[in-house]
Amino acid sequence: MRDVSFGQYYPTGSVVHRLDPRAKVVFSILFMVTIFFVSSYAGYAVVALFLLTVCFASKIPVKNVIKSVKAILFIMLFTAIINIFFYDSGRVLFEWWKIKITLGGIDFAIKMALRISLLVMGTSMLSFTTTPMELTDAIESLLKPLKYIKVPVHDIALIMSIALRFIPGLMDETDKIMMAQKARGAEIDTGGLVKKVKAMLPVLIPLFVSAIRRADELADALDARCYNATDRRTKMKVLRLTWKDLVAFLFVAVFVALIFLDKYLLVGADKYIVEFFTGLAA
Amino acid sequence: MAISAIKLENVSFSYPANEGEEHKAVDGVSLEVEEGTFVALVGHNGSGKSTLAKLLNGLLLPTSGRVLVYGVDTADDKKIYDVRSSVGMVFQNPDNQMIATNVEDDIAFGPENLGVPREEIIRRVDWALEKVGMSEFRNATPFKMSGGQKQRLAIAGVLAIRPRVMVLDESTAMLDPKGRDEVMRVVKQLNKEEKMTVVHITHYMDEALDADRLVVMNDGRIVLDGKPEDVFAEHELLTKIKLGVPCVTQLAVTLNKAGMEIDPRITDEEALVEGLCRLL
Amino acid sequence: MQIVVKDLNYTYSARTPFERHALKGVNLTIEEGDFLGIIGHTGSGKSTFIMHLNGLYKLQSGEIDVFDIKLVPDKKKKSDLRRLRGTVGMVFQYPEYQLFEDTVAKDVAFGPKNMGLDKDEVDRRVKRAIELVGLDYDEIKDRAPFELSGGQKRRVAIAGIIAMQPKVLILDEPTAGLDPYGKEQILSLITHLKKECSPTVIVISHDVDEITRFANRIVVFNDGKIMFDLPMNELFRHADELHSVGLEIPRAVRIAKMLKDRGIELEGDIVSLDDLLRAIVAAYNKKHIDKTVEENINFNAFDFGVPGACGREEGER
Repeated sequence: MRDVSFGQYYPTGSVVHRLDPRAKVVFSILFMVTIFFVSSYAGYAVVALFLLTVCFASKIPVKNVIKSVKAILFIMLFTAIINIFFYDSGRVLFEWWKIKITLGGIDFAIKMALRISLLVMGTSMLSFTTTPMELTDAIESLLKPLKYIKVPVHDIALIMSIALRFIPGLMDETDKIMMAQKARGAEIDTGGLVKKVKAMLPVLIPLFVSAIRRADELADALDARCYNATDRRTKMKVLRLTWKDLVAFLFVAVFVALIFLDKYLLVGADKYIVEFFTGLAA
Repeated sequence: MAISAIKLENVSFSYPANEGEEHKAVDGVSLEVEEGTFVALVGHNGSGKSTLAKLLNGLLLPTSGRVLVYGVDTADDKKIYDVRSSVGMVFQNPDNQMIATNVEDDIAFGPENLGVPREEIIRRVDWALEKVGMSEFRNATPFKMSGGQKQRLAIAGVLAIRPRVMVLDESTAMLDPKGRDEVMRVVKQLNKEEKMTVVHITHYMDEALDADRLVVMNDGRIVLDGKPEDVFAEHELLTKIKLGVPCVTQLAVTLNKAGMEIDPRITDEEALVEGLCRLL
Repeated sequence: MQIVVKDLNYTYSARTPFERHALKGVNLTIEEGDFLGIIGHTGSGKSTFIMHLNGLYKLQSGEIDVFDIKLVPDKKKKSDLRRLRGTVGMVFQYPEYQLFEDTVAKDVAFGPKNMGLDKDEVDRRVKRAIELVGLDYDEIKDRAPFELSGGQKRRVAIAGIIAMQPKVLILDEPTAGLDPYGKEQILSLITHLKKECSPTVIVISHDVDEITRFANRIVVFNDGKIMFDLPMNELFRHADELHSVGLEIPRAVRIAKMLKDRGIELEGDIVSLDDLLRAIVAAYNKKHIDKTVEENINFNAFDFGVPGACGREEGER
């Protein structure tokens, strides 16, 4: 039917791809946290530089990385506009009725947009370079300590991996059922919301039935392959940290250090730049 | 003396029925499968053959009677994983039995569950992939493969458990002729080279041709059991229970009925052509 | 009245790394009354092709004219699509998976209702369609589709299409997953429907023997193109070419060839098993003048005549 590319994984076989997925998950979390501490344009420049380096190291076309922002473009513009109109701080540039556009507002809107887009690009680097399976493995491994408080870590990881495994199939199936109902004259893409939801029933019900049937068969297949046979489960692929991960860690550490340096020591290196432009505008 | 791999003693099974009526999907079946044999189990849809399959590795437990796998009762809670690791099972829908997005991870799933040491798992994955002729797909994603390939991978996944019996529960029903051939070739080879006991459940009579033994089910019961050519000789009965005979046999039967001196028990094309040559 | 397809091209995921040309310049004319069999590998373009006949894929390039309903790559009018779907009935693979209503009658009514027919007409069509597929209307109309047997479900699904009274009936692998008896039932049902309801029938199958049983014309797809378009009785001439692209040769053709290799030449064009049987009997009668054998024999494992007389199947799990 339709070609469903699996997740976002973009195989290039680069160093970044071969890093331990756990390291990559930890780095991504560090990246996400760090980005909320960025306060200056210089800081954002450092983040962008960092991303660019990762991008080159992973051999993923910059274009693809930028494209990942497209999905949230609308939200980004929307928040930017809200921020411009309603964030009231600094010099007033324009005023009409209750709407005030201020220099601080524009500044804030730009920074917010930068933050969101860099955040998305950064996390998509993880999905570009890591297969869903590696991701689940990593998460299982990272959550392992929770086993001691009786969290079924392995089951959670298995559920995630099965979900990933079945998504393309279910999408395919949705497509087929939709076609079949269209062939019976169903008008699925037209009408208002209520009409649309109602029109989706002929697709959703068979899809649901099929999902249950699949789950049933899968449960048998899991049992037949001795799922839960022993608590001492082994793993074929053992994740091991290597010197590559160490190098990557140092690199990330430098990045984080730079951001915090900017935030707490230089207190926003670019406030001088902003002042310069403000002066220019005046 | 041959070892008994699977033994069913007067086994019955009913699904919980609504409105009190009880329908026995399997009704008093006794059957013994010797180690190393290739058994074809044939019946039309609803004859109880798939229910029987699930009884063989304890996915279902008999309502009455006993199922023994190498002497172990499948109802024995403590030994269920012994049963399941000796009876591997391949199912009908190739899409619904793979759990991983990557071939080798999927094959490793069984032995991982059993706590097999890592090096041994790797050896088994290599071996299983080689047995089904798919070594070059080790790191591939099953999603884009053909039905036949997916089903061979499912077989590899079962092989990695190192079972002694392989049950194929209508594993060819959803495949095209090419995929069916692929799967049948792999299974026959396993039976021959690895001395694997095979229980092949199907409704294609043509797939029963090469079996050592053909068991025919109807209405939850075994109605015929014997060498394929002897079973096919019961043409009338097989037609009555909606199964029919293999295509070539049907040709021979039709000609024979019309009045030609053709042996109605013919099962392969060579023999048919041979017989016709004498007459024409 | 005919279906004309001109220069049909179709590309999946154009301009991406996953780009695939599914159809490459397909031309085909299907006459009213044709019983057309289509064979080809998975991915040969046969499914993509038939989906176009029903307007399920947007035309990328080329022209399609279905009984004077014209499809062109530009924007189409919606009313045309509605009329098209009432003209061409499409039975998908495993059609029972599209059943969704809580009763059989309601499900069968889905198509005709979408066509905008009034209630009486819908009811009339539902009754007729259910009877046409060989089911007992009064007995089955209020039952839930999910409690029926596999074969019954498939027939209900087919009834759902028949109720739209299409002039052209397209079936994609109609016998997939059924047991031999279920297969025979569906095959004879298709012949029955051609006679009683939809004069033009197109069947896709991967089982060439099945196609030779009823089709009078065969189209072979290979690699997005039409490789052959032949009257059925000429298919045997191209056995080697079929084999060369990995498609199966009809069994009758194979056996006739084996006989020929042994010096026995049967008369007539042999494609189906019926052809083979009759040719063998004819040859036999020619040689043994003393004893003649009934010439009009059929290859049919289960004799049940019209589908209405199939008998009811017992329920199954």
